[in-house]
Amino acid sequence: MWSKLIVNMAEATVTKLPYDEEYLQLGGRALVANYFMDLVKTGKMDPKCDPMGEQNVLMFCTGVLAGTNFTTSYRISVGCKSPLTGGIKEASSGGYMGKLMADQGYRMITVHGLPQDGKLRYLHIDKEGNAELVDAEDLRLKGTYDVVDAMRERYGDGISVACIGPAGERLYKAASIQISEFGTLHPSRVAARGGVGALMGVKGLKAVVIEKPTIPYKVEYADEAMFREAAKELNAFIAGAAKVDPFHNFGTISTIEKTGANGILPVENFSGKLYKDYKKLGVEEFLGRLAARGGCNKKPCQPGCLVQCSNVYHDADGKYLTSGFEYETIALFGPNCRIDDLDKIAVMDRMCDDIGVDTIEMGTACGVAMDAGKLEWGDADGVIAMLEEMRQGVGFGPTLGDGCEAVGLALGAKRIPTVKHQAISGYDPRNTKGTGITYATCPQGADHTAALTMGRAFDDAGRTAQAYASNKLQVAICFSDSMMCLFAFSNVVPKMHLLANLMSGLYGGPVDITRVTIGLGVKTLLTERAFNKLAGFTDEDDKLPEFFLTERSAATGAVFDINPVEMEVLFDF
Amino acid sequence: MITVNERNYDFRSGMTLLDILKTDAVDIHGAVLVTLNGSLISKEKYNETLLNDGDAVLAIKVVSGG
Ligand code: SF4
Repeated sequence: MWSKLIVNMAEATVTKLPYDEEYLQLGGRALVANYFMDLVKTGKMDPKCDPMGEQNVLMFCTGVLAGTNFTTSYRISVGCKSPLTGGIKEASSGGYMGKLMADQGYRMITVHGLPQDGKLRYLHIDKEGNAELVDAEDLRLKGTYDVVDAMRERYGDGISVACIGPAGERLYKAASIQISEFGTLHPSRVAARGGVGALMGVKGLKAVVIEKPTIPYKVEYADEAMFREAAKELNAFIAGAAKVDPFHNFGTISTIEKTGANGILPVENFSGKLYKDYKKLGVEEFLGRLAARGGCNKKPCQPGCLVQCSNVYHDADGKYLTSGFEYETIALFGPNCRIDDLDKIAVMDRMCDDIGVDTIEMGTACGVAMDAGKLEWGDADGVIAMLEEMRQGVGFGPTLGDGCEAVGLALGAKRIPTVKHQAISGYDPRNTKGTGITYATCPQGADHTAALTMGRAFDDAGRTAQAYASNKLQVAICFSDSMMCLFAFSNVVPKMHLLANLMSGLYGGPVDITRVTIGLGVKTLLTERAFNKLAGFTDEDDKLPEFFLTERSAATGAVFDINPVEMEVLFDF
Repeated sequence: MITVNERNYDFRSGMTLLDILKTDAVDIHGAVLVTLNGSLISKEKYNETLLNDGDAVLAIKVVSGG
């Protein structure tokens, strides 16, 4: 039987309990939505509560297929009421934590209350499954790379670490939770968005460290043969599709080859210009540097991943610099700040991972700071200095740490690319309008994984079928985020019906795809929206910043011209 | 024999990468990246890259982002 851990930071206690029967067929994003709505329904959480107050809960949970051999089933989801948006938040990450949590027999860890003694602690789960809170005062304000090194020294290589850096401890609203990668243990996988690291910080929890168990938990199947047959077929299909998947062959950086040419790549704080030098940050340059310096791509961030989109990036001296170096980071610190030095952007990525902060918030915030005249366009050293101020908590650093909107408001900026206080990611919504609809309406705030319609609507910059594409994808991504990695999911679509066999083989019941599409998809989206409504969100929060509606993209001449009525009917299922 | 995205094509001596891409149904317009035996080949080099018997070509289309 699966278990859960309840961590009480007020009393510094950890309790192991059987996992709730009603949550058995939920995982990841679907579990987060249901759990937090249940807290509201049972009076344990006021949906309007202060996200940094004692009512808020920080949740770590696995996907619904964790413990099986289905590829990418070991994602980890971090859930809470977001310190950044004030709404529901599920931040999904790869890394080794999901696998070790499942091997330990845990589906969910919830962290409650605030410490009474102001002490910093970490949660340690040992090889035998015993869990305790350990004093972490020696790790205070340490970067995440140092935290991983310290844990590795204490417990060896067979561990996963999820931790905050100085940003989380300083309660910055853009603080992330960094999760160690499978194999290397680099803390470069990220539950990045919504300020989840700030909540971990206010709870005085520096890290969650899980050791590989002596005896791994064995999943009980309702019909193991059915599950294995479906998983075998799906895994083989995904492995085949991965051969021509750009993320497998090159990594997410390949996205720039498309966005750079069609005006979707953000340039100079979403000015709408084209960036003719985007190839300086393109696949050829990237792969050339990996090969010349001993880095590599095609790395899995979790065991059993067949897509393997991750990478290891070395500096000019051939020394490790960063990993999990992604399109969003490159686009937003790059052309969005008119920076075209890949090595400098890699330094920024490493700093953000080490400080424990969301690179999307940071890249957009720096773009806004440049637009407002705080830094010159292209001033990479200025960005690096500002990130260092953030680490130290001095100068402009704390404002930067609170993310894009805080920076824009502090500098009196007119063009602030955020929705629900969360920064827009590396796609200009005028030229991928379905993505703009997603940014505006997604309960998570503007989000790069919530339904990126680029290449999926008929004409990215046109109006046709954009709301339809956003709607269908938002639902699909809700169930994908509950089961598996989105990048594997995008290869599964022609055989999606087999996801029903996985659910039925694992949990019993009918082979019915609506258990996935409605149960984990539509219901999750509607529950998230209902939570946000109770938290005080209105239709006014489902809007893009005005400048996307009035300023034309110089690349295509497009404005974001989707009628609000089209967006209102989006969730009328 | 040459393979393009795992489909077989006859090999002719003197054949370039551009020749095989032209004959294949793979759409190489827009954001398409081509590898030869796992190595990325830039667009400007398609015409000067001579193929050998047994080469494996992948034409990889960037459809969506991540
Ligand atoms: S596809 Fe990439 S992000 Fe997804 S599990 Fe694999 S390596 Fe991790």
